[in-house]
Amino acid sequence: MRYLSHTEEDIQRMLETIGIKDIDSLFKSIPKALRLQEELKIPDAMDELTLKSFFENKTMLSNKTCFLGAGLYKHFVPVVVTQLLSRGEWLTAYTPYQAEASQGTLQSIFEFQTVVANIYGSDIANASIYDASTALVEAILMTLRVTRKKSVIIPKNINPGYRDVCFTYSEMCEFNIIEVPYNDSTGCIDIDNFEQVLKINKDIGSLVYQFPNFFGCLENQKEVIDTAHKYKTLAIAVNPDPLVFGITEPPGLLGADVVVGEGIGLCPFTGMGSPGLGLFATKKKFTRSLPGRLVGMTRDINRKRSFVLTLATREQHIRRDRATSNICSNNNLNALAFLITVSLYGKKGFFDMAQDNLLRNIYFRKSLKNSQRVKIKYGKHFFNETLLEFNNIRAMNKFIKVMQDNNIVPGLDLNPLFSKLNKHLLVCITELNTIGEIDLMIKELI
Amino acid sequence: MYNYHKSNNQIENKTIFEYNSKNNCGIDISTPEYKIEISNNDIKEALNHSKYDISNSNAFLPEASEFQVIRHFTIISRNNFCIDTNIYPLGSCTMKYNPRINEWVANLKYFDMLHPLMEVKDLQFPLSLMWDVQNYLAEISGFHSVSLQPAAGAHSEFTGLSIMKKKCFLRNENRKKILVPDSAHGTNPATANMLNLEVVNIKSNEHGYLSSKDVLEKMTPDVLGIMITNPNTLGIFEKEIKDISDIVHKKGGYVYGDGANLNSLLSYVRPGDIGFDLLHFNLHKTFSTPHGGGGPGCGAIGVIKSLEDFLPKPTIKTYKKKFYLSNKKKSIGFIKSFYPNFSIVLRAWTYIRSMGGKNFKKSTSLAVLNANYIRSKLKDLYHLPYQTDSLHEVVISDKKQKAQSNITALDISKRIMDFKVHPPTIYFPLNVPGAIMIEPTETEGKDEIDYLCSVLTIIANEAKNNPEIIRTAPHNTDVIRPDEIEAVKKPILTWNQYQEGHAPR
Repeated sequence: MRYLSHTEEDIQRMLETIGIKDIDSLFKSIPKALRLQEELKIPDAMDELTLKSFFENKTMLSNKTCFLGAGLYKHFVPVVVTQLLSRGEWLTAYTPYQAEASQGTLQSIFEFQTVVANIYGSDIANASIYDASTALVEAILMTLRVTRKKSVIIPKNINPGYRDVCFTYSEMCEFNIIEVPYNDSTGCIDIDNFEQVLKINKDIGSLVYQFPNFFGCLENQKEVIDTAHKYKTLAIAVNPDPLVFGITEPPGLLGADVVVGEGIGLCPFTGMGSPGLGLFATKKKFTRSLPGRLVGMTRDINRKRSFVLTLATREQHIRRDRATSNICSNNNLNALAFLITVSLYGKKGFFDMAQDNLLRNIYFRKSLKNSQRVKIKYGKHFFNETLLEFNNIRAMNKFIKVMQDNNIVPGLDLNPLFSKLNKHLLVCITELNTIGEIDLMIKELI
Repeated sequence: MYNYHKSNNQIENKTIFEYNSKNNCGIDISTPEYKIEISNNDIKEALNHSKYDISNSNAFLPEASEFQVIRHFTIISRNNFCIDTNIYPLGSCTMKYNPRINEWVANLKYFDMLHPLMEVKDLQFPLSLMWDVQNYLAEISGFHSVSLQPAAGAHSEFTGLSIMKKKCFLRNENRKKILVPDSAHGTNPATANMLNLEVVNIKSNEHGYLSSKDVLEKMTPDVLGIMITNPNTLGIFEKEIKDISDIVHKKGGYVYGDGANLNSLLSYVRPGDIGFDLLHFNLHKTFSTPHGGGGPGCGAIGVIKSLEDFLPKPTIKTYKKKFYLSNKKKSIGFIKSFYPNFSIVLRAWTYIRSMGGKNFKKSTSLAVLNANYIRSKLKDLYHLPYQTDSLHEVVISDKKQKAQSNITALDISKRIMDFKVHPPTIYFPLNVPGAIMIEPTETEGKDEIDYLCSVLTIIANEAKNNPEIIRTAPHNTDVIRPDEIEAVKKPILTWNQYQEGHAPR
């Protein structure tokens, strides 16, 4: 087996040093009755050549074009990112507990924290969490901890996937979710619905809004945040695509207490949507209540600038059953990928790319203005999603079929998720969708 | 690249925010031509008149060319120890070689193009690979069903305890306590706390393992179960596991296995056969997927038949050679977005098939051989807190060196770096004061292990004859003993905070 370096002679000499006859004696502390007697029923080894041709045959590209977003917004990732990530120094290191042996990872996390905090307009950010849904849960748990309350308000226009995860945790970690409807004509939050709950329920620690929301609409953030603060509750923003903040004001600058999001769209590998990259930013005053890993800048004994894991007394390996979370790692390689992508985009590229996304979507919507076949449901204010309303289900299915025949996945049918939206297709356009592809869609829609 | 400080003649790595090139950008974007006119007003309207331009804001985002970015991230990467360049015997972390064929597979364009919301009929191949890995893990561990859904070991612990809690809830039992050994990973009690469970600590005996008598005493009707790492964090096999699991089962509780140390059991013991009801796997430990500086990993979970319906959503089913997703009614629900950590699952699939069923016995035995070889070479030089046989890792302590010249485990770990070896885990497990926990894994050969032993021998001698060199170590790393206390006193977590004058002096 090519991964193993011991020769038979090595093994013999090592056994001699230990003073035992055979390898099996190494396992004598395991009672015989507990040992596996048979061989594992796993196929025999495949050599590299066989493995490679297996995958090459199975993964012929079908050139499918995809207008799916709905929580995964894939963006352009320069080749530089994958090239850098393949360095063993990044790929094969572990948790930077030993600062002197991990300055690379530590500095990159410090830079990542800075980038996330600045994109979200918040004071600080952590080293990342699994994905947006789990980051949202951690945000809720943190806000309930600091406010000593037990309930959170969640509007029904957040990503149903996030909602599902929140409900699992609410049952297991024992907090309440109060769901409020959104405004049926705009797709956005109806602030009166929030106020009604806030007025009578004194157990609300925080409220959540998604920006852009699941239908792609841009909420009136200021109004939501101010309402939360008026009732002395905290505002949590969840963001499925950080790029939007190249061109519109981020929640942190508007006063949101916690901003969480999904960074995977700016990472090179998004297959099946996972592993994700949960972004977590907040105000400075919550520094000691944050979940997850944090890196800080300090000086070494020669007063040289250096980086360390810090404020670890919040964490499981020190605080054990009084930790702020059980999270042990961060999704570090994705965090690094995100950092490198954003570094390449730079301030200018981040704005330009955001504007590029928006322009493509304006183009799509304007082109459909006089369509007899679809209406644009919900939303004057948008970024890179459009909800199309067809005349009936049949017309929608027919359109989907025509597109599929052209190897295009034209969007997400919302019927299984929202009963009232049963002839509606959620279409996502980013810079990865060419004008030619968009025109193909338009042609079949007007 | 670097900042040079004349005052102390030092160079330091720049941060990415110190490339002072206003509006520099590492990508080129060409705007497409639109057939219709798009006005500024269209943009304003779309953004609800809240247009913002991050490039004209105060935000700290990098402004560097592509080449500057490449150079920056290459330079700082070189300040990392990693498996590819250093022996990395970090206890409990199983830092084995990360095969590159795994990376090749995980980076195939085909997989990257798969959107999780595509129809299941378009996702048959990836689903088949997940299905395979589930089955391989079930076979390896002896469990009835496996879910790959948890994102990490700690996430699996959440999943496992949730399953136990829900099962007991459906039986109308209110069990609010959980037994956790003193040697457990910190995630165990932290997870229990998230689920509002009260942690009852149990101590290991003088031989370093749990005694069933103690468990019997503490296993009251309000206890949900026990979390056990086997072999435990001392590398010692929990001999009384069968009795312990019988006791827990008799009282209606469950035995949760922390699979961090599974690398010592593959092909020798199947946890599902010896009394465990649930077990998590760390694909990034046992199954060679890269640690990536701290993740992403994947924390699959295996359960016995009666707990199958409680596994997180979605679960994969197969019928007539086609794969489907199903959502069981009793399931604890969704624990994260979309599918399992797919690129990690791909790597694990590739690793398992590269190894093949027969090679696991060999890799397990070499992992245990390496650890025991180290143990026999070091047992006279360092204090060995437990004489009991250990498997894939060995825990020594700083007791001798501390008595001799007040040299601590921390000092020793710092000195090790001078020899280009990554330090072992220190001060863990908590039941050994000054613990030094060494896990060599199977992929270090005899030469490498001999080098590691000679380094620790030199350090043991230095502790006697020249302790100062240990106390002032490391001597040739880029930075030396960064001040952690200063970092906590006035945290500088972002470049903004540094600029605002929090700068450490």
